[in-house]
Amino acid sequence: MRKGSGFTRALLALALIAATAAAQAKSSWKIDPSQTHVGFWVDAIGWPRTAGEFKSFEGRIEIDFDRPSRSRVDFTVAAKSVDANSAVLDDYLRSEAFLNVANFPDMRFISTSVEKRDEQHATVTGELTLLGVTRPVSMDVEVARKLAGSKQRAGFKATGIINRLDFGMNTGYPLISEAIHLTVTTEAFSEP
Amino acid sequence: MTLRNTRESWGSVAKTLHWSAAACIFAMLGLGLTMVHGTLGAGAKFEAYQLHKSTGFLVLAVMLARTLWRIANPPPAPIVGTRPWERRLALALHLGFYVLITAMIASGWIMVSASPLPLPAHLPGGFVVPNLAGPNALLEARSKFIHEAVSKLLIAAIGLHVAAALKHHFAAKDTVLLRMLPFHHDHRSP
Repeated sequence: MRKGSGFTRALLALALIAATAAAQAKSSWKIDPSQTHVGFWVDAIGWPRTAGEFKSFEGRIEIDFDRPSRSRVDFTVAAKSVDANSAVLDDYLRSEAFLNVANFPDMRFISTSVEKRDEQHATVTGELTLLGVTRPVSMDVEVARKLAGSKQRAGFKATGIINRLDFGMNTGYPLISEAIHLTVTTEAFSEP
Repeated sequence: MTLRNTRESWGSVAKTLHWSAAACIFAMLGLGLTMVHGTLGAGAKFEAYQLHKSTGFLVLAVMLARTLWRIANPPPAPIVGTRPWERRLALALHLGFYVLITAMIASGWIMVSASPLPLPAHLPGGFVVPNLAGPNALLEARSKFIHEAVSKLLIAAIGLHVAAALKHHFAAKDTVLLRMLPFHHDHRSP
């Protein structure tokens, strides 16, 4: 019995350690809006590059640094928050010709797989919903971990190109390129 | 100064219309050249184009008023001593302005209408100017060519117009320039 009870205790202890480790490994991270920038740019023939950003967004990140494939990203951007440094141009981008914000207020990206390439790089594939159309999109993500005081912080820079024609955004094509370049930089901190 | 033209001088309506058109056209040429050839960012360039389109319809309104006023109210007589060829040249140049400005407005309106990126001009009060044609890249390219070519002719015509006015004032020392100036009173007029 003594032996048996010791074995059971050892098993329990192992299970506890494993559970704790698992809980620590997969952690929920909150995005710091002040350190987040959702940017885009698009080229057009005979026109300077149009660059802008979306000011309003929310997102959740679940990161498992030990098993990156278990990480998840869910990011929602308010289409009407577009800012291309011109109120007149912003209104045009919000119109039916482009973002059609009256009918499609949100753009959403939900990851489906995360593939670690090396210590600092991962490829995040997911589904992007834009203008009510959902298509797979891949983003290259650069990760930097750092400690800020007692909190863990992680910086991410995600870049990707989407083909706006896939989402039915055809206005001005081919004068305005079909390729929309996205760059999302963000900093997230682990929730205690 | 009277509202209507007299035999000797321009009335205040004609003067106001002349200088309003001059101000609009100078602004439009400056804006047009800047937005096409200047190094503006995408947002500023977009705003300049929209302003140029809207102002184009202000020019149209001024030119319609000018044309109607010109028909309703004959211009002052040529000054004494004007030779027949000078009179014909002046008339041709003045008529030329109406033709060139009309061509600028028409080609600009057609260009906006035929653009593959349909974006009609917006006027104050929320009024949206209707398009004259559907998207048509060839029509857009042709009207753009005309718009640019006529703008150069218009600049040349303005140069001649200003040179002629200065020649009247400084070389011939007559009242042709003075009688179009805003606050000039012709003492010979009643």
